[in-house]
Amino acid sequence: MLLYPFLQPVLANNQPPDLARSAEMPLMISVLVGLCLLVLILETQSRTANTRLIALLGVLVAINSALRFLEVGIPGPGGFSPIFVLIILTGYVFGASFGFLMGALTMLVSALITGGVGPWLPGQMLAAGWIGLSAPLMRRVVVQFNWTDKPQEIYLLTAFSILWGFAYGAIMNLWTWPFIVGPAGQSWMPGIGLGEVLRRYLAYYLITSFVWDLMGAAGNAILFLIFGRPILRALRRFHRRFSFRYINVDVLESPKGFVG
Amino acid sequence: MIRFQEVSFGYPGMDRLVLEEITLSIPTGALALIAGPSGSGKSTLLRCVNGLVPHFSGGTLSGKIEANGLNPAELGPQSMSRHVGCVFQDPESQFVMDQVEDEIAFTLENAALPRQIMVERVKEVLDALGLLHLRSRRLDSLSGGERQRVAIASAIAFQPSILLLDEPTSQLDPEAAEDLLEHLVELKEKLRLTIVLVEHRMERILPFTDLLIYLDGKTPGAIFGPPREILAQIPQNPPLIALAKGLNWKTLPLTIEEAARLLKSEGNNLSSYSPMSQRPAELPDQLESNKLPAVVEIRDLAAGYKRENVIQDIDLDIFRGETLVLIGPNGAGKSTLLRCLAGLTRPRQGSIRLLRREISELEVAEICTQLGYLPQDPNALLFADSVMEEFLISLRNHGLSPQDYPPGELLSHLGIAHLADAYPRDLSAGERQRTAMGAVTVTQPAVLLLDEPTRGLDYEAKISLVELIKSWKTNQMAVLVVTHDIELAAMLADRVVMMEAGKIILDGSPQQVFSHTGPFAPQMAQLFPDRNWLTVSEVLSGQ
Amino acid sequence: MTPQIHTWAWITWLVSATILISRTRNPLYLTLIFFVIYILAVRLNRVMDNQRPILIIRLAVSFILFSAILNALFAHYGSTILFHIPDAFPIIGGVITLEGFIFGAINGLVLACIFGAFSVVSMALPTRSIIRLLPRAYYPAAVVLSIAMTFLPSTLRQFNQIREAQAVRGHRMRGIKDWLPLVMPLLIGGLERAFNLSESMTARGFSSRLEVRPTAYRQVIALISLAALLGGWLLRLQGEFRTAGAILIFAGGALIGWLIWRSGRASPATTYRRERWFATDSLIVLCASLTWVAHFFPIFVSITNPLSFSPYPSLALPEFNPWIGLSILGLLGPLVAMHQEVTPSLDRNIPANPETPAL
Repeated sequence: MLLYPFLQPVLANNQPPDLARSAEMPLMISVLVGLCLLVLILETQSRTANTRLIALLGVLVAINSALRFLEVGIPGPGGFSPIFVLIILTGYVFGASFGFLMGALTMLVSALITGGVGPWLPGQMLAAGWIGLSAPLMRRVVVQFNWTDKPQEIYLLTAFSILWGFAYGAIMNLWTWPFIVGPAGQSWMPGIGLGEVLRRYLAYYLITSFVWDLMGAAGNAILFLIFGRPILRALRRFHRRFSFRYINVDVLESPKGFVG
Repeated sequence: MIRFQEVSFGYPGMDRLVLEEITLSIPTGALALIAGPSGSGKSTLLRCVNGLVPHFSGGTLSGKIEANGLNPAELGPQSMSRHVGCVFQDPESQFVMDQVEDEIAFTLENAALPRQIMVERVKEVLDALGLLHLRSRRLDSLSGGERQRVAIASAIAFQPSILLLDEPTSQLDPEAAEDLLEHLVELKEKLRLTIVLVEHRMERILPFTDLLIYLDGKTPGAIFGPPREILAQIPQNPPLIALAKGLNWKTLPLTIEEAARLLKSEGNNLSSYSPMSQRPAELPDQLESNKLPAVVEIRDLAAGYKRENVIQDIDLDIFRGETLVLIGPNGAGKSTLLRCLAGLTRPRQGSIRLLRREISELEVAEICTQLGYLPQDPNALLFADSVMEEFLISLRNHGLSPQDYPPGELLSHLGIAHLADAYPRDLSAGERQRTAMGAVTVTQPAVLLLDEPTRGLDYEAKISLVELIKSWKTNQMAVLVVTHDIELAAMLADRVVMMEAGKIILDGSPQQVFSHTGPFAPQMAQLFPDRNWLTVSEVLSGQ
Repeated sequence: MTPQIHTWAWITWLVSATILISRTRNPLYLTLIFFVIYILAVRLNRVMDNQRPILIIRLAVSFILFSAILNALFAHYGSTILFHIPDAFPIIGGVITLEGFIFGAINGLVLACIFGAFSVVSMALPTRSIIRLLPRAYYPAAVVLSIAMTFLPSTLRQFNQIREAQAVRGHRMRGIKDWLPLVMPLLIGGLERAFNLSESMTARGFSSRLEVRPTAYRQVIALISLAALLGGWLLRLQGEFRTAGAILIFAGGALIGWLIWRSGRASPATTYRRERWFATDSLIVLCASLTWVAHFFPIFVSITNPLSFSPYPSLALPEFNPWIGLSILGLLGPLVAMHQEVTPSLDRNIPANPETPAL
């Protein structure tokens, strides 16, 4: 059910290379993505509308944003961002809605505090949100193969993070492409087919950010392999405390003995 | 009026009942204090009154609870929040907003109160707690005591008739604690609140307590009644009470003045002997004539942050096997001194030698092979899956092998051998502290520094701590304790050093120092001046 | 001292600026806009006593260069050929033209301006004001943001404490693996604090506002609105039925707006803080709206799009209409409110005084 909203913006983003309305397009994309984001946030937040999860989300977003601060200090080649680990793992443990909000809000908060707000922010929020949103899908695989608490679980998640390392970079590029290269790059060539467009995009991607994203994905992998297990364990331990429990209350004047 | 009728409760997944057949009643407008050893269910009992148990915690509850005519177990904390306010222990994790005003308004906004009323209410509430001048300050610029006052202010924003407080002063120093409790008593009078309080440091609040409730955690039910009555029956005793019991006085004194009066009126067999205390008034000669080099030598030390020096002209020697207690008011520089010793703060001037080695060139990790430092918050140290693992991690950090420094022995020494596989962060405050202590002493250092170790501990844990520290002595380990707790100092110290405004102003045996420190002296010393008695056991054994 | 400009005034300014920037490719106008933004940024920096240097210029240069090079490599069109890359290279093979560089540079300038505008606003607006802006429907998210902002400084402080505590037990920072003992206590401590916080929040009656379950009805509306957005856009891209496409997009947007409004109604609340609206704020809004003149200019002088410009197919000098230039200067509005001193009477957010005319 939650996946429907997932698909819409994906399609939306894949369209840009078509004939475009000159200068209007980047703005339109921003607006559309922004609107999608609004809807998604509305949906996901109502699913996590529980005091415990709200408090948890708040504190985790704070921690993740603080980590992003450190990202600047870590001597890693670009694209290396420590925040994805938490986004993936929290989505994995606490569910799709939680993961989505974790991703989107981490981006928002870190942008707000570093002053890096820009038209790319909705895209970042959406993409990061998707990472958290899709993480629980891995859960099915893990349960299927009975990999819980085994090393394979971490390997799978690591692979997942590598995948997303590239995907995230690709999406962000898709995002900025129309801004930078501009539609006029094709407007003189009428009738470009989808194939040609994809080719061009691939080339663009390769040149601009493949290396960047490679580092990012590799960085993610390393982080996962080292920190994945302990973090996952810690999150799982607390998961129990934070999940909504069925209450058993017997509040009558019953004298001795208590009813379960 | 709060009433419990045969209330029993067990947390989910636990077989043992935390509360068993509790029946009690608290009259309206009373200040009730809940006491008992840790794990006896005091906090649980408290949370029953506003519905957090069982709605927030889960679990199975039976029996009947009534708070001012309402049934919290049925209504739940949301509805009860209008009638019952609640304040928790940790000033760091109760707030959603970052400004004082906004925090209080947050509670009110949730209830969709009209703006006009909100404005007035915020003002009222801030005024009631003396916080008006702080209204637009950021919360993290306030002291712990001020923050707890803001927590109380938010709790009374709905003008409840009942106020619950769960160890509100445990993270505060004695002055702030005193201050907070005074405000609380004032509030109670002004607003006619019924206050239910869980608090370890009973002495301060006992004079104002109307009802003392005691849970012993072993037998079902609770005993409750006027404080003096109940105190006579329970083992947890502040010094004055212990003295009174020891001297078989009929009434129990709650303040020093009362005790002084009772001393005169009840008479005692104390006046007939010579006031010999077991502890010599001077430093034992053996230490002085020992002429062994000190474990730690500090010369002319000065250190600080930014421009100013927090401490200066510090000259201090610490000897093997000695327990030295460092006292002084807030801001005196005690913690700074400890930090310099551990290498966390680099001094501006002067030298520190640990086992004859100058430490200024050494890294913290290296210094800490020979020096154990237990920070105020031991939680910052713990992250492993088991207690044993924590010890092993420390060993690994220092590059030492478990063969040479067996952690098992240390575990037994600390009394936590049975917890070797337990998850450290789930343990009680005292057990966690021991784990952290183990983690920093696993290398068998020559000196141990303890920064405010009694914060958040109850009586028993405190006594065990004293025993533990005394046992380190047999290993010839020097121990330096920074504390605000004078009674602790009285029980422990071979030597007391007092600091003020960054300098050492007194240094000598406890008797010497405490006779000059006025209010900074143990209650026994205040009660029996010129007798060189510092603890109850000394007084009683002088018989 | 943060300048006393109302949040909505800033938003209007930002929106006007962004739309203006996106609609034009005229390098002269763009440079003027950039200049305006730069002035604002500098003045703001001084008024707020910020130590941080302004990166706008540096970033602008990198945007422009990057974009110029990229575009030149990809688009092989234009009459001023600079050099020729052999066609054997995929995609980048072809002529490299000056027009290509220039077009790219212009795009970079657009980006730089947008970024600059956003930077100015994010410097001037405290985050709290932004959070307060969120419509009621987003209350849970707003609370999450508030908590995150509140816990950030203490998280950083905790981190330092942890670093020291670990050093004391012999921990040294040698490699990546050594970050584990720093991150884990931070995380676990955070989880514990979150639990305590939620208990405290529950005890204060917080959860009463959250129990708004999503109804199937609302979800369906959400889906329809998204579909409308997508459909509308696709239509517009096709070239035909463009107006139909526009209408669909509008409809989708409107549906979303309605959804938000409805959700907001479900959780009633009042707000404590009100911002005062000053004359300066009206002035700022007025000036910012001057820029809209630039958009509507054609109606008076019947030129199609006075803001457009293209270096293709061959380079020509861009035109500069002084009226439009003047309207751009309207963006300087906020300067009016950037005093060095802040007198108490100008202090907004005075909830204590009931007579204050509140917005």
